[in-house]
Amino acid sequence: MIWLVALMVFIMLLAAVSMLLVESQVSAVALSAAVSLALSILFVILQAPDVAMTEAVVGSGLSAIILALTLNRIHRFKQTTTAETENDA
Amino acid sequence: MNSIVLNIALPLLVAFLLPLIHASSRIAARITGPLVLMVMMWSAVIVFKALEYPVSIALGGFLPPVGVSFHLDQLALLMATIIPLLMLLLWPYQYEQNLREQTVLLLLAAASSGLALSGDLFNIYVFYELISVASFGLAAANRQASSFAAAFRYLLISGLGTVLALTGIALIYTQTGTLNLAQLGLLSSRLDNPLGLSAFALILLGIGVKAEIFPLNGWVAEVYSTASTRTSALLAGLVSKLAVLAIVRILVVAYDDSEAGLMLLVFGVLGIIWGEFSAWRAQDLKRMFAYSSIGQLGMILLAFSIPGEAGMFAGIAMMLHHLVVKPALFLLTEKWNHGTDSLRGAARLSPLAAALFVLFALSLIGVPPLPGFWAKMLLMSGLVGMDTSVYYIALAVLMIATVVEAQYLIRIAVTLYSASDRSSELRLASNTGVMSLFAVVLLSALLTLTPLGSKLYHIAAESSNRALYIRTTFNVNPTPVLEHKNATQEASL
Amino acid sequence: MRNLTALLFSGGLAFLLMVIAWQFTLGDAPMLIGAAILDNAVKEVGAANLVTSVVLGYRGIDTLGEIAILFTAATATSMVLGSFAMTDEASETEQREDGSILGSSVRLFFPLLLTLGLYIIVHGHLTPGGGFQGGVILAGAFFLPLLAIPGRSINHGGIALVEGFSGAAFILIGLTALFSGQAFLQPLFEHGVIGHLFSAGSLPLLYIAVGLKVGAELSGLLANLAGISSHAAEAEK
Repeated sequence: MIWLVALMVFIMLLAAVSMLLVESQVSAVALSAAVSLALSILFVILQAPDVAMTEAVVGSGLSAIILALTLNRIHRFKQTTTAETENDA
Repeated sequence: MNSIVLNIALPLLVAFLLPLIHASSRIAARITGPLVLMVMMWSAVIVFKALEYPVSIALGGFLPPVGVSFHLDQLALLMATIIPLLMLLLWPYQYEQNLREQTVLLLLAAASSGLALSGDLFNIYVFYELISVASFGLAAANRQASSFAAAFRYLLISGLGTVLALTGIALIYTQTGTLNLAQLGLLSSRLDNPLGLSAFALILLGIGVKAEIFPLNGWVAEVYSTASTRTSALLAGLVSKLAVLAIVRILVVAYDDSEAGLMLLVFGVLGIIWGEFSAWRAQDLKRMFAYSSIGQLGMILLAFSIPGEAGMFAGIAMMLHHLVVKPALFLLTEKWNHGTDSLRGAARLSPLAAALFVLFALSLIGVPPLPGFWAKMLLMSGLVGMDTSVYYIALAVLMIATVVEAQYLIRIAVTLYSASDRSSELRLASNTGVMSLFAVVLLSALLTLTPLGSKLYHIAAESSNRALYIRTTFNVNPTPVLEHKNATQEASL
Repeated sequence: MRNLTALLFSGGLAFLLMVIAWQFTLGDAPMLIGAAILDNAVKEVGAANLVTSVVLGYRGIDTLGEIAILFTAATATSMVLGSFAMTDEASETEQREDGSILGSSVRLFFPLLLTLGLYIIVHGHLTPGGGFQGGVILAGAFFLPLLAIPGRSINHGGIALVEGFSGAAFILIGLTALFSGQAFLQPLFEHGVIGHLFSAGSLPLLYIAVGLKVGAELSGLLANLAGISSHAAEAEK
């Protein structure tokens, strides 16, 4: 069991550090979801299934989707505003 | 007594249903909000009048140490009465289409009432969080790029604060095994160590974000100068006081006789210095008010750092004074120009507003016979009464800060009454009629402060009484509640 | 000035965290409330899942606060997003063909996710999970088709209806207890047989209300973020 815990902690650390290093923002969002997923497994090992479920659903599912949708929105907003300024010019 | 939960349940219920009410009848949606606030005020006043001694009510019917309890004393009920009153004054009556803003305001009313009444650490955190989220929405409600930027900064700083507060609460829980404030009072010896004090520092910083505490107040000037006047008045007047109140409750009950009070003093003094000098340098009226509010909240924290009844009395007096004066100042100057130099000759355009401004400003400085003088006198005599060098240093800082405060506020007053050089520069709207009316109402509230002195002293004595708080929570059970022998027995050990 | 305060703050915070790390000892936390709940929760609340008896029984007011926070966040988000309406060009680029594999797998997933979400909500007082977790899964079930199948829209009016009434139901259940002479949010009805679906008094009802509220809230929020308009708006066009 201790090896599984160590593995999960290692995965969390790895994902968290690489989140800082990756260029693409979408990859960073995916890595943040990976942190939550490993954390939720850790919660299962710690016998907290309720918390594990919440962490899996909210941490790796919902918040990742919200972040990705926000990135999408910002990207599109930037595109339309640059297009408008080019048209004006 | 139990009916006081209506002050939380009712605004939440109506806020959930407001979009549906709006869909069926617009007129109904417009009058529902003010109606709910009136009911809240009525319910708080009824309980306030019926209250002879502090009462604790158990939510969900579970006895306090295990279940969540509300602590009803005069201070909590006073705040519960003021919340809907101030919100009624600041309600967006004249705007028809901001349904969402009204929803958020109702949620803010519910959360504020909950924060004032709650006697459980985690419950305080939940209501504080609700206040935070609601105030982000209000700060961004202006829908301008600058207010979005300010709201985002506010969100980041406040988010950091929330994490700190939650860490502090978790730390307290690991040390004591309980979240109930009264039980924490019984176990306060477990918190009188470096770990317990660190937990208090984290909570102080975390909840202090709303109380504009010194290092975490970067949002204040930006939000107050970009958000709508009503929002600024609410945040500066009401929300900051509730945050202070939550901190003071924790301090009085769980951190009696420890160095936690000194921590409050240090942050208070730093806030006074930073706030007043920034206000002195500010060129923008709204920003000046924002910084002066930081300084005033520093004074309030300083007052509450004095242990015992004297500190509580001075703190409550300062708190109520600022609660009335700051919203009034924001409302009076709603239509005025932002730049302090462009206010020349404003007194000729709106004489009533200018006169009221001067009156409120003088009270803020503490000129006798205005109530501000009385509040500041209480604070100073409290500081002198401590007879310790730290408090004398704080007193000196307070004196200097008052001089600085007088300097910048009188500078504005002189500008108002000086002749304008070029009339074309004057873009003041003279239409401050409604706002002046509100300000007059607030002024009359202000003038009743001093006569109510003895009543306030009674309130202060009651809420600074730690033993009374604990006894109330564990003994008085007005509702049929279930037994928890284990928890209460262990608590009394 | 700002840099100085930031430096001061981070220094102080680092010091604080160091003190905590230095003083903190693991493994001997006192269990005052925890032990009391472990001893009495099944007897008093009647829910097989102890977490649920804390979330809806002992700390029901906190749960009410949490759903209010979610509601406030969704309202504030729509307050901000309302000003940046999606332009037509942007929504046209959205109308891409994603291929039939994605579409049909989502159609397959929808009933499965719906069942899972509802199961978790309804069994919240018996097994791990409950209104919050099940509600998020419900929101996912309704949101996936919007992402995968082009031209799909969402009924914002219906969402508002579910959201409003489920939130109101939670408070009304609490108020029913208050007006029948008990405390606000005190569990109603008999406990029943522990472990049965119909047990633990009014707790399952509260969790259904929470689940529907969370589900409606989040699917509305996600659709709003993705810039998907409602039926009504499309009919007008």
